[in-house]
Amino acid sequence: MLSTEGLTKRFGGITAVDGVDFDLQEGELCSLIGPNGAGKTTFFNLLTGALEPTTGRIRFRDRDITDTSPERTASLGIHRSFQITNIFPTSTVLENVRIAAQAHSNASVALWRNYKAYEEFIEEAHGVLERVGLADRAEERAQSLSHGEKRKLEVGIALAGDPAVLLLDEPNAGVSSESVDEIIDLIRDVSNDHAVLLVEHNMDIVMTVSDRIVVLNQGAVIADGAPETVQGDPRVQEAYLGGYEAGDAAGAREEADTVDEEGVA
Amino acid sequence: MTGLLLQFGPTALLETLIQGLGQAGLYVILASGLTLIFGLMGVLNFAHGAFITIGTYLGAMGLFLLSSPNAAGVGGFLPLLGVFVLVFVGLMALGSLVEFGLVRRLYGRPPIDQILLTFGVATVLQQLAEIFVNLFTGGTSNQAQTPWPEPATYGPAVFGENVTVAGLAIDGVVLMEILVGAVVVAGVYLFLTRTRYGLYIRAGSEDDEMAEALGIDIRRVFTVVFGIGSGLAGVAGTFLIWQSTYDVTVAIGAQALLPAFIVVVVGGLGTFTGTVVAAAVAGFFFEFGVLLSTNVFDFVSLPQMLLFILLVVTLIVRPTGILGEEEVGGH
Amino acid sequence: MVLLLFIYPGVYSIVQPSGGGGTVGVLRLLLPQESLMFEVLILALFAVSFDFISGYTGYLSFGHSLFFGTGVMMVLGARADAFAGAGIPVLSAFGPQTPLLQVMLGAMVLAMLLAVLIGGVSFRLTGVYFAMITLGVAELARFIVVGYIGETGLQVTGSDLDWVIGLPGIGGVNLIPFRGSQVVLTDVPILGSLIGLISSLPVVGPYVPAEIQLIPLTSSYLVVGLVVVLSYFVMQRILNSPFGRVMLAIRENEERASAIGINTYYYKNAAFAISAAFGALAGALQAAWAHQANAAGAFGVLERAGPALIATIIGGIGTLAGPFYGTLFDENLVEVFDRDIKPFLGDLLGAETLQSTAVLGTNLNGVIDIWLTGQAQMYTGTVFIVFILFVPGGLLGTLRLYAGGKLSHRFGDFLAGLVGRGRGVLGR
Repeated sequence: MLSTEGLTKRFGGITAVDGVDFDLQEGELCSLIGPNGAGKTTFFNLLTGALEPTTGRIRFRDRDITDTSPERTASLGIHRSFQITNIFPTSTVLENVRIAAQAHSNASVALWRNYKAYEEFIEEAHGVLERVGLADRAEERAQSLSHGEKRKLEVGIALAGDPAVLLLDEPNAGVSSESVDEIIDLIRDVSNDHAVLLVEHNMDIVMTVSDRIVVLNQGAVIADGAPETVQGDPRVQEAYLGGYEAGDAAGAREEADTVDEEGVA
Repeated sequence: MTGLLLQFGPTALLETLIQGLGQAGLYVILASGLTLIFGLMGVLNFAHGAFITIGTYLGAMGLFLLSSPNAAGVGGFLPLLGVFVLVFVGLMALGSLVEFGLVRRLYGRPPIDQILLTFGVATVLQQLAEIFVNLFTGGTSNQAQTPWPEPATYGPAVFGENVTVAGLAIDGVVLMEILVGAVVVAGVYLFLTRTRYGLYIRAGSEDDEMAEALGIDIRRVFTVVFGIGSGLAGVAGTFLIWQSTYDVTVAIGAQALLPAFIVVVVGGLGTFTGTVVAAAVAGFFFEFGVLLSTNVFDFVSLPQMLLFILLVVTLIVRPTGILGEEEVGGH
Repeated sequence: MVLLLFIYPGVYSIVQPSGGGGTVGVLRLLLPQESLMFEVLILALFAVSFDFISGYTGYLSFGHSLFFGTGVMMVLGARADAFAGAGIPVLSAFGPQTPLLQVMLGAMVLAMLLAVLIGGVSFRLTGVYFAMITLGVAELARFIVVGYIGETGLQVTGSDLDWVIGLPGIGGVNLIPFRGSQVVLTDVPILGSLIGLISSLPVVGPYVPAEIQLIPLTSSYLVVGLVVVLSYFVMQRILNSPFGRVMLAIRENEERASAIGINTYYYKNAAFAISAAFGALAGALQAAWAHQANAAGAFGVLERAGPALIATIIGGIGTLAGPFYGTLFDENLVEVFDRDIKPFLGDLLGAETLQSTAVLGTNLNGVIDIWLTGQAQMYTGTVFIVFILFVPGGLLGTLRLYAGGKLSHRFGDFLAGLVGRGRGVLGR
């Protein structure tokens, strides 16, 4: 349903994403893995329209969405969560999700009616908070949540508006080991009724939750298949080991990726 | 358009070109400080206008102390140099103090907060300048807001008079502006390329590790650059004394801030090269406006209007300015 | 709070029956005059309109005076019949006979167009660019206007200074005269019959005077008050709508806002246009009352937008009522420094003392003239700096933070609590 064709992005002389052909199936949970700087976040930014590809096309349900803006892809039903927590800090937790629900309707242009009169968004937000396990924190300011709770809220905001595709960028980033299980359950839960593309570093999680795994290295797809197949692939093992050795190219790429991520934060 | 210009003849056009270059020199001095400060710290310094005002009055005081009315020959220029040094050092000290005492507290807060703070500083300094001017003139008639023509009679005799260069009649102060403008461009360029501070500024202010590697105290760089920017504002303020388009009042800085802002936006926020290019373009625009408004149209605001058109056209064609990059400074 | 504004003229006249006279009490120093309250209302509306865009989307409209000036010029231009004279297309429809309401609406529409033009180019960039571009456009508008009306400004004179407050389309329906002559309230169409109705009531009736007269200042004050309060509620209503929530989301985190599907560019432009319209309304009101203006007072960023900015920060940016209180504080201080403090000190210490006490080569009078008269902005500016550094939420924002909610709500809770306790006591 969401596919790319020869998707490429270059920053100056560095190719961050290199001719990726990718297809996300309806209802599957696909994980995108790869060493640091493999171009995973850049790939996300291309899919959502935050970055424009150098070459290649992106299609979503028979529609070409290569040059659409982030707000347009979001309203088409492709929602993302961010690697670095990206919420509305001084709004309440409920409002964080409620505004996202409202954004997926055409009610935002209403100038006169009180926003509380639109009960459907409030109800939807409560439902989402229930699902991500933040129902009891609804009235608190988002900035006062713990890191793990903020990661859940991050997913919650993406869930509002019932998207067709969820792009989750390291929902576990920086989460303490006790809370990891909760987030794994959350990922499993949302994958029941959404197609999910997950970026994740923790191999244990990836192996347990994924239907399919795609491995990126230096911007290119080097493996694509069921978890067991990918695990045994010698190129994948080499990429991971090679990535941690003093590979100059990977180092440079990592830098490019960091800059890119800062741009997002 | 060509028909419009041809009616003036080559002499008038050449004179206008040279005057435009002088105006460009003035704009460079006016805007360099803003650009440097924004380029390094992402602070849009609204206090720049107040520094210009203080530079004007400090310059006037310096002229009364060191120079004499219509100083003839080369002898008039040495005291002038003294005045420039006095103003530059004085304003540099004031600027550093403002950075050290106030602006420094806000690094890390949103850029809007810094704009607001420097706006507050501008308001207070502006009023303080007014109080001091009134104190020295001793009057209750608010001397600070009435034009003060006297300082303009001080300094080299050629200021405000036409000098004949190769058959062209050019105001002496225009030649001086071209000269000082060129000195400022060269000076800032050398500062940016030849000093460790400059190296650090060009590398972008985000990289703390590089600063450490170079053995630089970032806080001190900020203070120094803020000081240099303020000092340049002061020198620009002194030049305004001889500008016929400005009256010496406490509002002079606020008036001069506008073309400085236009130059900085047109050039691209925070890029020094862009500022120099934009200053040249704006200088010529302004002087052609003067030429047209005095000879063709009876509309005194035409030069300002041309600057406005320059701003609007730039914003439509290239919103980030001639040499600007996107997403400078953040929201 | 709103009610207080409306009964203020009455309260003021009771507290200060002597008006000018010789005695200047402490009350005079503390209570603003009616004419000042008039200014405060208009400038507060302007500050609130500034806060609407700056405080609620986070984009600082530094050159907000552009819209104030637009309102001023629209009204004065129409009054002086300048548009038809200059043959300006659409605007030439506005002449001296155009009812005030229509001129105001015209000014608001014009300001909205200007806002969309400015926003159209600058909202694709960061907030720093936006601040700078609005400032540049406002200052340039001032230069251009100076080209038409000169430095000294424009004054509309003539015997017929009364405004016709018409309704658009109907025209000439006059509720209350604005400016002009003494008003007999009982003669005013709707209000008159309302008073007649009250006076026919059994208990209260006898207490209603047969004839209530209002001086022009008071009647105009009431008109302005009505417009300002209505505008305030309209803006509050908008901020509580789904649209207003989007504005807040943009302020909180614009990147996230677009990631959830909000086209922030359109919403920023729309919010800016609304804010501009109310800014122009403030300018139109002021010009309609003063019938004169100069370019600096109408368009000047330091002169006009500056005080609004200071009032907003001191009162509390991002709270709609904050700029109101900030303006009250600001304008009152200006008034006290410019006019009241000298006679007050004269009363307190004796005029002789002021004259004879030598300070730094001058006398106390001189010190007041130089350090206080006309210098209020230095002191408000200092307060402003202190607020930016240490109280970023402003008075109201900080109070709300500590009280844990809107003050009126808290106060309501407090009253409810009292009543509840009272009932408890009675019940026992």
